[in-house]
Amino acid sequence: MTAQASTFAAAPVSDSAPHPCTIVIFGASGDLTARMLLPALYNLALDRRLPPRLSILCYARTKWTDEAFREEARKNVEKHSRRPIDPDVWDSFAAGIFYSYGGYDDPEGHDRLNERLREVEAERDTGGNRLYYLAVPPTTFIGIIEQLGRAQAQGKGGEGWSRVIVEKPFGVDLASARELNRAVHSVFDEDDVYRIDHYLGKETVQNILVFRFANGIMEPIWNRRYVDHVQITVSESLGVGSRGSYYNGSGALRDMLQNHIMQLLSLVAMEPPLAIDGRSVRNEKVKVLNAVRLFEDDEVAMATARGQYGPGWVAGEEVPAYHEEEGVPGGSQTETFAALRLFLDSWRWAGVPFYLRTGKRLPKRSTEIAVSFKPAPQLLFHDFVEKPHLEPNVLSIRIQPNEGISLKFLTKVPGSPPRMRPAAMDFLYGASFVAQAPSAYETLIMDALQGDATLFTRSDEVEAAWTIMERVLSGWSSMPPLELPNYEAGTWGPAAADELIERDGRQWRRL
Amino acid sequence: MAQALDHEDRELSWTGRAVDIDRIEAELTKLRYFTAGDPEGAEGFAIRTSLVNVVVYAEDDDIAAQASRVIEDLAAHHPSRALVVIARPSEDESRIDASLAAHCHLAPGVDQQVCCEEITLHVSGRAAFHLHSIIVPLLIPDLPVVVWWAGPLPDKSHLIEELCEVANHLIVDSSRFADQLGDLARIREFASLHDCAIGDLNYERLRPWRDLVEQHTGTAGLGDWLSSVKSAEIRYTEQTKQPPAQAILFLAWLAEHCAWDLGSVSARGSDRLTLKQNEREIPVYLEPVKYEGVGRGWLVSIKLAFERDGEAALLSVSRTGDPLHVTVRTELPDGVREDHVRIPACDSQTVLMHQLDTAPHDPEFVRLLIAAAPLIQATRN
Repeated sequence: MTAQASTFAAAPVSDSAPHPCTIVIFGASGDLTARMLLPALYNLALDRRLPPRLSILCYARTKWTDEAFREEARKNVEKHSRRPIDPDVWDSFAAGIFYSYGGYDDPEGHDRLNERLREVEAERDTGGNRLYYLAVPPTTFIGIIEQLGRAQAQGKGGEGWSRVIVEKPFGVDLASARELNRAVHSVFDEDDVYRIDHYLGKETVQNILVFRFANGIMEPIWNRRYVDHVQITVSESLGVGSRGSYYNGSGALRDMLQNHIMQLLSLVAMEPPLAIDGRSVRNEKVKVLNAVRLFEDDEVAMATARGQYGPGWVAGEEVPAYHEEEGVPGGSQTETFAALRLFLDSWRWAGVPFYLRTGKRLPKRSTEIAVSFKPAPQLLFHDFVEKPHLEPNVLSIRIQPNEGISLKFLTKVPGSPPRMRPAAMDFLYGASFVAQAPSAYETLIMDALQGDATLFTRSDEVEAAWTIMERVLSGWSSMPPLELPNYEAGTWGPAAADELIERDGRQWRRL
Repeated sequence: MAQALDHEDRELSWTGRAVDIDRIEAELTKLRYFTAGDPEGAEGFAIRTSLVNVVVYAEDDDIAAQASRVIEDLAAHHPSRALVVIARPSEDESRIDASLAAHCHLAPGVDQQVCCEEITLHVSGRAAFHLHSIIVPLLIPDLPVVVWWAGPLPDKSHLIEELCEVANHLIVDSSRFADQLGDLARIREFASLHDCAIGDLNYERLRPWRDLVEQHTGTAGLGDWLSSVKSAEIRYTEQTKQPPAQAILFLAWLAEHCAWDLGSVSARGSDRLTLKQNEREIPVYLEPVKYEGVGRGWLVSIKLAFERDGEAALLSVSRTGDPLHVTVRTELPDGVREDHVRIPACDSQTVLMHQLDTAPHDPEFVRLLIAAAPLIQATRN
């Protein structure tokens, strides 16, 4: 594998156009392909960022012809693309879409796929470069990987490079993640494996690195000396919807904390990398995860909180309890809310708590990292203050919605008597950069085509994150079952979450 | 059905019927982008700013429109994200109609506009019983939340409790209460059950009266007489048969100022009260009078008569024919002095601004309300 220009490289990405190749999408009839992948690829085509002669060979169980699938694809792109269809661009894009059918671990289907793949490669002169995209349920990963390995052993691999993109969740615990890594590594080198966490493709998440390491004023204060604590919140107002059956086997910890929030934690807490490339950045991220102090079972009760939503009102609509959702079994103990307090045993962050929380059916959708700084050392403005203490400076990085960064600071209210009031210096991403940003999937697919793995998770990162989560899961399993539901839909989670942070004399931010 | 954002001089607006919160948020984002920067670059940048979330509860569209004008006028001093909520819980259909507006003002001395966002929500049916679920997603994170209850208190408390779940500070106007004294008692009970600070615009209107009494009883002249009040008289513009909240709140303040025992209050009718100071009885007369130019139940004059060692003194503060001027008269054994003083306008904008300036962390009103409980009880009976 040859690493090419990073998303962050000085030269514009368009100067390092990716090589012609074929993207093989497993799970072509699924929701992810319809809502995210095809619209992302179409938007890349619209921006003329795709390599010449790019081919997309879609594979699923449904028996479709190329034409029928193209029609279906057009409908989905029309529905989900961030920009309308340009007929000329669509015609050219659709001409590169092909379809083959079969079961995910079915040798016959894969033989048919490989034959079709070689035809497409020859017809469109893609040089045998292949990007496999596993947009399928995790239970089918290993079967597909094995079939890809079988094809390789039979000499049916491409002449050029072969990469694989794997969607989350990568395992359901440490053991399954390791098993999956072993299976993937039996066919692909780690450098050719692109584990997607779509959060990393978001502009604002990438901007964390730029904000921290391209601005000289941040780094000197980004440490235990100045930072009091950090809060990372991923709140959703939606419930589990039609995913009840899947979600019930997962829960908030596996669905959000193990991946998205651990990635945000890594980016916020990492040391400056030697360079902005896949190896250097991921080396530093994994160090953060390895520095997380692991819980003993008896610490879990005090350092974590979990809950499940009951019925309530969200955004003016009445919503059912989790256990009333479709596909959720009665008596489920699955958590729809989780909060942790973590400490990092590192020189930079010793003693600084990181409070993490995520949940469904919370009052609003919001993903935010808030760095709360220590107060001024001496209270000079006794007569100005309206509270017995000064409000801390808080730097909040809004990942979604209203992407941006704001810094809260105290300012004097004009006039007399003298008073201070918090004000926010607000940077609104979309208002400063009027052009619409590419979607996370556009960014990540483009990076995978270019061989840049900076924004993808590495096997050791995945395993380190699971190691942390396993301690939490172990602690929870040793505790008596909870009385559920324990929070009303439309509230900020169970009382235990407030107690978790209030024991330290702090409060969750009001988002 | 929704209209597109319009750009009309200094106001951008959008209206939508039967919309969900996601749609409102999306339109708000558009509004923020419009106000934050003009893509054409023709007019320079507008500054979108907010220091506080102000949630206004209005009983009807007229009160909402008045409140909206007040909020807009306050924008230069207290730039806010304003949510004006009109709840109609009795309607059958549960739905939200919304309109958004950005009010922009030219900042002094610079060629930039300062913009504030206002969201007006008509919430009908069952959704009106769950206002916090609608309001919370629309608040700007991490800024204080002030709820201004702009009209009379509702018969049942659930709406006000709904709003106070999200509030740091509740502002009421007891002059608009239907049963002013009864509703003051409800506010007192409410304060004992909820964390949010409470302020009253009607009490804020007493600020010039309190300041004048404090000034004139703090001087060498009348300062020595403060413990020798013989009687007090409070006159107010006519309203209902009960004395108005403003008069009772002033009396409660005066009692504390003069160290009278509020627990000792007894009433002979609702217009003649007696308080005690060290077993000495002090009669207080409450009297409605005709006066044009101020709200119903507002103070028109106060008079304190003093008697000490066979000598008499007097302090009176009376509105002149101009509601913005008062005459302050002091009579001491060694002479009479009369001053004409201009007092601030006590319109909603002025008193709300004072509240936003000071009251969020000023517990005086609630403390006074608790102390005044026997007074309110005696006057109501």
